[in-house]
Amino acid sequence: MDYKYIEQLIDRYFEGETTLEEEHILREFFAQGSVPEHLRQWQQFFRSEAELTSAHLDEQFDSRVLELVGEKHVEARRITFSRRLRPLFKAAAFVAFAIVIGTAVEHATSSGTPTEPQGDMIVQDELDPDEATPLDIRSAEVVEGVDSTKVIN
Amino acid sequence: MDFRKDILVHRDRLYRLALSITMHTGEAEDVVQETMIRAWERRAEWPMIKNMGGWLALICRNLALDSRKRQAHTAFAMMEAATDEAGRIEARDTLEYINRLSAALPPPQDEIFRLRDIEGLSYHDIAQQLDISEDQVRVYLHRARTKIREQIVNKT
Repeated sequence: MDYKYIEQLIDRYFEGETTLEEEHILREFFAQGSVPEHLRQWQQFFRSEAELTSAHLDEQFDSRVLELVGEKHVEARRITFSRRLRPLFKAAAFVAFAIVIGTAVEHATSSGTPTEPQGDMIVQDELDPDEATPLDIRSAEVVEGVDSTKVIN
Repeated sequence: MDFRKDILVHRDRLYRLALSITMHTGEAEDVVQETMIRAWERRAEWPMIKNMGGWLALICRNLALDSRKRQAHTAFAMMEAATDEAGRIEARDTLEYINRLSAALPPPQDEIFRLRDIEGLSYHDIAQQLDISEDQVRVYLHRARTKIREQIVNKT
């Protein structure tokens, strides 16, 4: 394997000419297990730097500090597509409900008009005792039970 | 100015700084926490601060140095340090090794070496923080690393 690039980086590092990214590459290279013999003298230094530069605090630290300074730790909420459409669903549901209610009210108010056929009235006509035939009266007795006596009397 | 966006965001960089001085994870975490609280208590000053990272680093560095002094001068702390191996990071040798190397550097070089190699700051940020030019940062860093190279080569 050719280590020329690493050797050049090492030279440039000690000359103070490397970028932060190149310094990161050097640390990553020396942090891995297998380093050739002629580069081992630098391993402890760059590996030590790699360990130091990767040290970090966790989220519990944030929560603790925010609590200490009296701020509420508000977790960022992720808004899903369905959550974003929720107001539209609500509006659609309201419109549908209004249509159903409107239709029902219209149906209820228009049910008393004479144009509508009324099954109950036809039955009433058929069983009118004044105009009923004896056969009809007998039928009415069977159908209406107790009330049929009034018709007979 | 917002505590989370402008202050808390510097926590890891401050932690590495504190760690490099105290050489103890628990102590370093306490130092960063105290830094955050101090910054919050002085929030009236925030609008006047041009370089928030530098201001925080200054507070953190002073607190870390105080912590190290306390550790060194308190018999109890020394006993505790001897027994509190779990609190020390596995790379205790690492920290001591880096500290030994940088201890041989004169003040501006030592500081610039730490800012660049431990805190990971750019030349521009270091220049701003120390109020010097970027060219001066490059010169100091070059000298610092040259001395470190000599130490490594002489050791091997």
